[in-house]
Amino acid sequence: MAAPGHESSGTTLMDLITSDPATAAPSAPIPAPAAAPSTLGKPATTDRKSRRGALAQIQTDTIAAAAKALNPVKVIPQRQRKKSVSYAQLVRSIHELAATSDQKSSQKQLVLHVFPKLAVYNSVDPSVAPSLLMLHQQCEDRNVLRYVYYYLARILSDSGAQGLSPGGGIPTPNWDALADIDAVGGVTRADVIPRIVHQLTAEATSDDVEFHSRRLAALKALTSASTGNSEILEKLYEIVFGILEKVGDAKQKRRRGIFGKQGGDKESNIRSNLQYASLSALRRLPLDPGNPAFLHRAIQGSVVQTLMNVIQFSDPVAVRHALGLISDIATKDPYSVAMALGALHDILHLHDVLARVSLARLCHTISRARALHERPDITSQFSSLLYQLLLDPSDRVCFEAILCVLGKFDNTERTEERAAGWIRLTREVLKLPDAPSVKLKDSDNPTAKANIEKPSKAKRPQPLIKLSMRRLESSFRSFSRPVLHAAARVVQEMGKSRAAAFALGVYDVDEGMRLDPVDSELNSGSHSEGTRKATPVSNGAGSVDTIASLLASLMEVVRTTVACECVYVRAMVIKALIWMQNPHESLEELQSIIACELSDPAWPSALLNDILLTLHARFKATPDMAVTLLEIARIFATKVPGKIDADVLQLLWKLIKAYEIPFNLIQFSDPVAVRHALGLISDIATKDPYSVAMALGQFMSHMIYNIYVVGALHDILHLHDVLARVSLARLCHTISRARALHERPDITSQFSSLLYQLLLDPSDRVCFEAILCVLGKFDNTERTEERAAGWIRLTREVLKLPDAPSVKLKDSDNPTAKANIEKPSKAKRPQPLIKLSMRRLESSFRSFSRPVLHAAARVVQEMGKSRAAAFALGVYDVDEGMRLDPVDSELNSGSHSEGTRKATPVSNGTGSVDTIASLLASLMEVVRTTVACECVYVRAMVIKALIWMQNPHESLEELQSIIACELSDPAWPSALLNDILLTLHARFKATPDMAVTLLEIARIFATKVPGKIDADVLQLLWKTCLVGAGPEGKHTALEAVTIVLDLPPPQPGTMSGLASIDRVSASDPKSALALQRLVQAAVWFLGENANYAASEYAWESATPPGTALMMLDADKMVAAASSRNPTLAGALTRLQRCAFSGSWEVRIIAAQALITIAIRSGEPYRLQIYEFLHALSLGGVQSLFSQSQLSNGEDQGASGIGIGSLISPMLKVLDEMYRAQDDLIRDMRNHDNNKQEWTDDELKKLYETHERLLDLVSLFCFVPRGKYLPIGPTSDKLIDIYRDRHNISASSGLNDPAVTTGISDLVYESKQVDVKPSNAIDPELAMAWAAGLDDGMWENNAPAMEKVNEFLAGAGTDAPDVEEEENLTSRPSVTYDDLWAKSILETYEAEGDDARSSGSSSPESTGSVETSISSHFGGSNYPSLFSSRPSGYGISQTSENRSGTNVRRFNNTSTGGAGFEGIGSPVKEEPPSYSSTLQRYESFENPLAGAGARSFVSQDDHTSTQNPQFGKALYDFTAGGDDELSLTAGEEVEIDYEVDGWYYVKKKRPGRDGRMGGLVPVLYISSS
Amino acid sequence: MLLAVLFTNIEGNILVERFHGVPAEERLHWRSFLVKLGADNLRRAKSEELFVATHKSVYIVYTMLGDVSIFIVGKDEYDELTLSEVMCTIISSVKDVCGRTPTERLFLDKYGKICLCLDEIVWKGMLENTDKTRIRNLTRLKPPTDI
Repeated sequence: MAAPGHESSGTTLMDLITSDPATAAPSAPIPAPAAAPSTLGKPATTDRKSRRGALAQIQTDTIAAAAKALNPVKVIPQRQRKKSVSYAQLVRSIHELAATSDQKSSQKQLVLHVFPKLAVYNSVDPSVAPSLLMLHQQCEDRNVLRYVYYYLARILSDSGAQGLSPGGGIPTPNWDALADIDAVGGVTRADVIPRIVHQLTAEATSDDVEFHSRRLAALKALTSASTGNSEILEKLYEIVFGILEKVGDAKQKRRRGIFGKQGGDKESNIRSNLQYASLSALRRLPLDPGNPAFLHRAIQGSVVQTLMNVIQFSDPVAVRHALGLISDIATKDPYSVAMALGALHDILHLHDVLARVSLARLCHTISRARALHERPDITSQFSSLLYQLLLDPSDRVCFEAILCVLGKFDNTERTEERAAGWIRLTREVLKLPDAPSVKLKDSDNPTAKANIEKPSKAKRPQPLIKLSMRRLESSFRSFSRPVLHAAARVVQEMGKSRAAAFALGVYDVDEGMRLDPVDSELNSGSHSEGTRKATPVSNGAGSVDTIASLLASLMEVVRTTVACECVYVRAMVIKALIWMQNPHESLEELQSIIACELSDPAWPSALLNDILLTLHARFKATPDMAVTLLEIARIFATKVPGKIDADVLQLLWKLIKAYEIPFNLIQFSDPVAVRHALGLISDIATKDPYSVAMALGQFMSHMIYNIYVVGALHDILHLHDVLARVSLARLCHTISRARALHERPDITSQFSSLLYQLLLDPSDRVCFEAILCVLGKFDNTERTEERAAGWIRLTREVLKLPDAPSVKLKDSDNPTAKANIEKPSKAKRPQPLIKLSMRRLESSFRSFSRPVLHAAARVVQEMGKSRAAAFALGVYDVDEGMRLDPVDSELNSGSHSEGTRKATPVSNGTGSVDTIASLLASLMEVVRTTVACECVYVRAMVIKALIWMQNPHESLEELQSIIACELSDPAWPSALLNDILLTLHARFKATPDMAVTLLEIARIFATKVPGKIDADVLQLLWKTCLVGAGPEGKHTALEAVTIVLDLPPPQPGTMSGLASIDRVSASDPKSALALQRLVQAAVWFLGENANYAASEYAWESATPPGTALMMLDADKMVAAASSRNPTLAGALTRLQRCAFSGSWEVRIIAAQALITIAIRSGEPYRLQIYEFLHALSLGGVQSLFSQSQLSNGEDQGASGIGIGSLISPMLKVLDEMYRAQDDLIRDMRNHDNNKQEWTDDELKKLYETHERLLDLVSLFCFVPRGKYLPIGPTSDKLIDIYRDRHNISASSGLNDPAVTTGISDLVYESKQVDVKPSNAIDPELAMAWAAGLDDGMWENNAPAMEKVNEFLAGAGTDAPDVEEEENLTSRPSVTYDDLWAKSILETYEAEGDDARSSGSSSPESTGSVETSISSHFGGSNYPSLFSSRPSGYGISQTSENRSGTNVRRFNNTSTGGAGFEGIGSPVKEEPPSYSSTLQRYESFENPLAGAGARSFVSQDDHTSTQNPQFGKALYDFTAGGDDELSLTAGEEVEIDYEVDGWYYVKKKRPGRDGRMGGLVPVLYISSS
Repeated sequence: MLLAVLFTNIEGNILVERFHGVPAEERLHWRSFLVKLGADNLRRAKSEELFVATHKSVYIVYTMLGDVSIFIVGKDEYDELTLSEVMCTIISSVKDVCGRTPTERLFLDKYGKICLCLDEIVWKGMLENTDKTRIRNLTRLKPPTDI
C-alpha cells in the first residue's frame, strides 16, 4: 500500500498535479474531525445553510486525507501558479462547466484541467453523474466525451462494498458530504445508474454513422456495469447481438455498394469497428455457452448470412422474372404444365431465344417435379428435351440448359439439387442409353452416337459434359465479352454443383451418390482429354487440374483478346476458377493466376471485393477449403490492400463464426477480435467440446492438411496474435481430450496433431502452452491420471504420429510425409514431440529474458510433475500397458536425448532423465552467467523443476550439490525457500518412494539456511516423509531428520561462536536463533515420533515393564536395548546428548522428548531413560559435573543442565508408575500366597491408581488410554475385572479430571493422591482371565468413542443417539490435541515464561501451520499410515479395530495434527496389545511369579482370538531374505495372509533378529 | 485474467491501480507485496528492463520506466510472457502519452491521458488493444480504424 500514515510535509499527489505545494502545506495539518475520508457515514452535522463552511471542511478533509494517504513526493518545484484543487472543487467545476458546455473555453478547461485531475481520485462519486450525462448529451468535443465515457464507466463499474472502485491515487472524500453541498443534491448510485444505462444503451443501439465512434465508446462503457444485474446484461446481449447480426447482413448492402460505387469502405470500416466493439463487449460479458440465447443467436446470425450470400450470383432480372413466373406455375402444378407441354413443344423450333430459355427452365422444372415421379415417361421426355437444348445454336439457351442440368434453376441453392445436377451432367453419359437415350435416339443429332452403351465411351464417353465443354470452349474463344462472361459463369456454376456433390459425397448421401463424384472425377478427367483435343496443350493430369489449366489457358485467351481489358470477365473467370478449385489439390496455380491478375492496377475494388465474397460463398459450400480460401484472400490483402474492403474481409471472418468462429483466425480480420473469438471458442469447448469439434471438424482437417503443405501454422491462419494461438492450443487440447469425442478418433487426432503443430510455434508462449497442454496441465486441477497420460503422450506420440496424422499427410506430396513412414522414421525422428519440446526448452533456457527463463523452468517443472504422475500410476494400479509406457518413454526419451545431443556438441549415452537433468544443470550454468542469475525467482523455479525431474532411482548428488551451492547465496528470500520445501513435500506426495531422497535435500536446507526456512514447514515435511517412508524406510527417515542434531549445537550466549561451525549462514544471531529453533523442532520431532519409527510401544512391547527391573546394570541395559531396537536406541542416545549438552531451550525439549519416549516405550527403554533422567535431576551426569550431589535442578546456569525443576515431575510420574508396579506385584503375591480373593475395594483402589496414573501420563504425552497400562501388564486383568463389574468403559475413566477441571487442578490433585497398592488376587479371577474375559468391551466402546470425538471436533452437536452412550461415563475422551496442548502448556508453565518463549517452533505451531499449509496441497491427503501398509498386513485384529476406529476418528477430526498421526496410527498398525494377549493366556497359573522369562513363554504359547488366524511353527525356519521371518519350532504366530504358498505371519515379540513379521512357507506352519 | 496493473513512484506510492478479479481484502496484500518487490529489486534497474516474480500460480512482471514502476499481475493465460507483452504495450503507450520516458512529474501531468490509455489496453481484466495507433484513436474517441 502507499504507506499510509507516513509523515506528511504537505506535498501530496494532488499538489503535484495542481502544482503548488506551498499552498497545500498549511491546510494539511488542519484536523478534520467530522468526516474522515475513510468513513462513509454522513457527517454528523451538515447544515445546508453553511454550505460554504462544509465545502471548506471537505476541502481540508480531502487534503488531509491525501496528505495522510500518500508519502510526500519529492519533485522539483514547479512553476505553475494554480492553486491546489480539491475533489469538491473539481466536482463543482464539472457541474458549472457542464451547464455552460456549449462554450469552447469550458470544454477546454474540462479537458485540460478538470477531468485529468479528477482521474487522480481513486473513485468517482455518483453525484457527478448528472453533469456527466448532461455533457454526454450536449457536448460535441471528442476529448471531453472520451472522459465522460471514462467516468461514466467508472461509476457504472462494479463497486466494492462501499461503492468504491479504487483506482489508485488519492482517496475520494466522503460522497455524502459532497452530495450535501452539491447543487445537485444527494445523488446515490441507485439513482444514477439507471439513467446512465439508459442513455448509453440508447447510444449504443443508434445506427447513426455520425455517432459511430460514440456508439463504440458507449458500448464499452456499458460493459463496465455490474454483470450481476441481469437487466443490464440482457440489454447488453441485445445490443451486441444486434450489431453482430447487422454486420452479418452487410453483404446485402455491400452489394449495392459495389454497383452503386459510393465506395463501401467507410461503411465497411464502420462495420468492422462495430464488430470489433461488439465482440470485445461480448467477451467481457459472462458467457454461458449453455445460454440458449447466445447459441441461438450465433446460429441464427450465421444462417442469415448464409442466405444473404447466395443472392450474389443472381442474374438479369427480366429473364428471371419471366422464368420465375413459369417456374412458379410449374412448381405448383407441374402436372398440368407437363400435360400442357405439347403446346410448348413447338418452342423448340422457335427461333426466339428467350422462348427456348424458358423452355429449358420449364423442362427442368417438370423433369424434376415430384408430382410426376410416377410418370417417368413424361419426365424423361422433358429431360431429353432439355438435353437437346444443349445443342441449341444460341449460347444463351445452351448455357441455360447446362445450368438447368446442373440444378442451378433459381436462386435457391439446394445442395442436393446441385449435387444431383453435377451427377446428372457427368453421368448421363452412362445412363443415357438406358433412359434418356430413348429420347435421344430418335433425335438425329450427332450426340446420339455417343449414347451407345459402353463402346461409346472410347469415342464419346460423356455426351452431356462433353457437349457442354465443347460449347463452353468455343464460347471462351469468342470475342464477345458477354459470351465470355457467361461462359465463365457457367463454369462457375459447374464448380458450385461439383462442390455440392463433393460436400454431400463426403457426408451423408448414399454410397451410389458418393461414388459418383469419384466417377465424375474420372469422367471429367477424360472429358478434359476430350477438351485437350481442341487445345494444342495435352497433358495427362487429372480432371481438376485440366479444368484449371483449361481455364488458365482461357485466361490467356481473355488477355490477348479484347475481352482482356474487361476485368469483369476476368473476375468471373477467377470466380469460376475458385469454384472449380478442388479442395484436395494444390492451389498454387490458382494462386499464381490470382496474384498475376491482381498486379493489374485496373481492377476496381468492388470487383475484388466481389471475388472475396465468392471466396466466402465457396467456403460455405466446402468448409474444408477454409484455409485454401483464406490463403487466396491473403493474396488479395497483400497485393491490393488499398482496394479490398475490410468489411468484406470481416464478412469472411464473420462467416466462419457461423461455423463457430474459428474463421476468425483469419488474418485479415481484426487481430484483437480474433483473439477474443478464439478465447470464446475455447471457453465453449471446455463445456461442450462435441459441438465445437463438429463445427470445427472440416475446417480443421483442412487446416492440418494445409499446414503440412504450406508451412507453419501462423502463416496459414495468420494468427499473428500470440494469445490467439494460445487459445488455439487450449482449444485443441480440450477437444482432443474430450470424452464426448472418443468415438470420433478422426476428429481428436486432427486436433491433437494441430496441437502438436503448435509446438513449433515461433512464440515461446504458444509453444510452452502447447507443451503444457500435451502434458495435461490444462487448468489448476491436478488429476494424476491426466498428468500421467500427458507424460505418456509427450514421450510416446512419436510412435503414434505416423498412425493418425499421416493419413492426412499421405496424400500430400510434401517432404514431411516422408517422416511419417512408420518405423523407419524412428532412426531419423524418433520422438518428435519430446524432442521438439526439449529443443525448444533448451533454446529458451539460453534466452536472456527472465520471463522466458522462468517460464521455461516452469514448463520443465510441469514436465516433471507429469512424469512423476506417470511413474506413480505405472507403479500402482494402472493396467500393464500403462505401466510399460513410461518405461518405453524412458527408452524413447533416452534415444531422444541422443537425438538432442546431435544438436549439442556434448554426447553422453546416459538415460533420458540424466540427460534432462544435466541439460537443466547446464542451463543452470547459463542462468548463472546471464543477467537472470540475479533473479532468485528464476533460480527457484529451476530448482523446483530439478526436484520434479529428479528420478527416484537415480543419484541425487548432482541435485544436492546444486541446491547446496544455491543456498549459500544469501540473496534467497525465505518465502521462496519455504516454497521449495513445499515443492519437496508435493514431490513426496507424488512419489512416496523418494521420501529419503527428499529428506536428504530438506536436510541441506536445514543445515545451510536454518535462519530462512520455517521450522514448521520442515517439520511437516519430516512428518510426511516419515509416515510415508514405509516400515523399512522409517529408520532412515528418522536418521535423516535427526541429522540436524548431530551437528555441533549452538552454544548459548556465544552467537559468534556459531560462525566457526560449518554452517555459514548461521553466522548472524538471527539465524543462530533460527537454527536453535530448528534443533528444537528436530528434538521434539524425535521424541514424538521415535516410538513410531522404531515400532516400539509399551502397550505392544513383548517385554512387560516389570521385566526390566531385573536388568539393573545400565551397560547391559543399553546393550540389550540397542540390539533389540537400534532405531529407538539411536534416538535415545541423541536425545540424551541433547538433554545435557544443548542450549537450555533444547535441553528442555529434549527432556520432554525423553519422558515421552519413556512413557511410550516398554522396557528396557523406560528404565534406561529413568536412569538418565534421574542422573540429570541429581545435577547432571556425574562424569561431567563435579557438583553432582546437588539435587533437584537448583543449579541452573551454564554449568548445570538447569532443567531439574522440569525433570522432577517427570521423574515423579515414572516413580509412581514403578512404585505402583511394585505394589501391585507385592499385592498379587500376597493374595496368591494367602489364597485371598481381591476385594472390590482393593480392586477399586487399583483402578483408581491406574486412572490417576493415566491422567498423569497424559499430561506429558499422548497415549492410547484404552490400551495403556501404567501399572504394567499384570494389572490388566484386575482392572478389566473391576471395569467389568462396574460397567466402566475402558476409554473413559472413572472420572476425568483433565476434562472436568482445569489443568492446575489436575496436577494438584494428582500429586495429592498417594499410591495405594492393591492387596491380593483371586485365583478364581485369574482363571476367569485365563478363560478370556469379555473382549467385546472395546468394541462396545468404540462407537461411543467416535461420537465423543466427533463432538469434540464439532462434527455434530445434536445428540440423537444419546441412548447409545449409556455406557459412557461422564468423561469424554480427550482428543490428542487437547491432551497434548495441555501437557505442553503445563510443563511450560512450570518452566516459566522464558521457556515458553523459546518454544516458538514447538509443536504448538505445527497444528496451525498444517492448517495453513493444507491449502497448499489442496487438502489432498498424502499417503498416511493407513494407506501405506500392505493391504494384507492390515487385515488386522479385532483388538486393533477397537482402538483403530478411535484413532481413525482422531485422525479425521483433528486438523491433521502433525504429532498425531505418528502416534495415533501405529496404534492401529501394531495389533497385539496387552489386553488381547493376556486375555488369551491358556494357563494363568501363576501370574504373580511375574518373572519376565515366564511371561514371555506364556505369551508365546497362547493362541490368539477369533478373527485373526493363528498357527504354530512346526519346524525351525531360517529367513532367506529380507521379507522372510525366522522361526523356531513351536513358536506361536499370527497369520496375516497367504501369498503363493507363503504365509505372512507375525510373532508376538521380535525374534533374535528384531523382526516381528515376515513370510514363512505355508508348510512350516500348522494353522489352528 | 490480468489481475492487476499497478503504477507506483520510486517511493512506492501507488499512482494508478487497476484490479480485476482480486477480492478487496486481498488487494492490500498485493499492494504491499508488489511495492516491496519493487523496493527490493528495482533500485538499480535499467529503465524498461523486465523483472519477473511469482506468487503461487500468479505471475508478476514489473519494470521501471523512468521514475515510475509498473507492475502487472496475471494468471492463467496471462503468464510471464503474455505479461511482458502487455508491459510492452503499456510502456509504449505511456511513453507515447508522455512524449518521452516519464518522470514522475510528467506522469502526473498526463495522469488523465494515461488512465484513458490504460482503459483501452486493459479492459476488465483482459488485454485489449496492443496497437499504438488504435489506442491513440480510441483515447480520442475515434474509431479504432479510421473511417
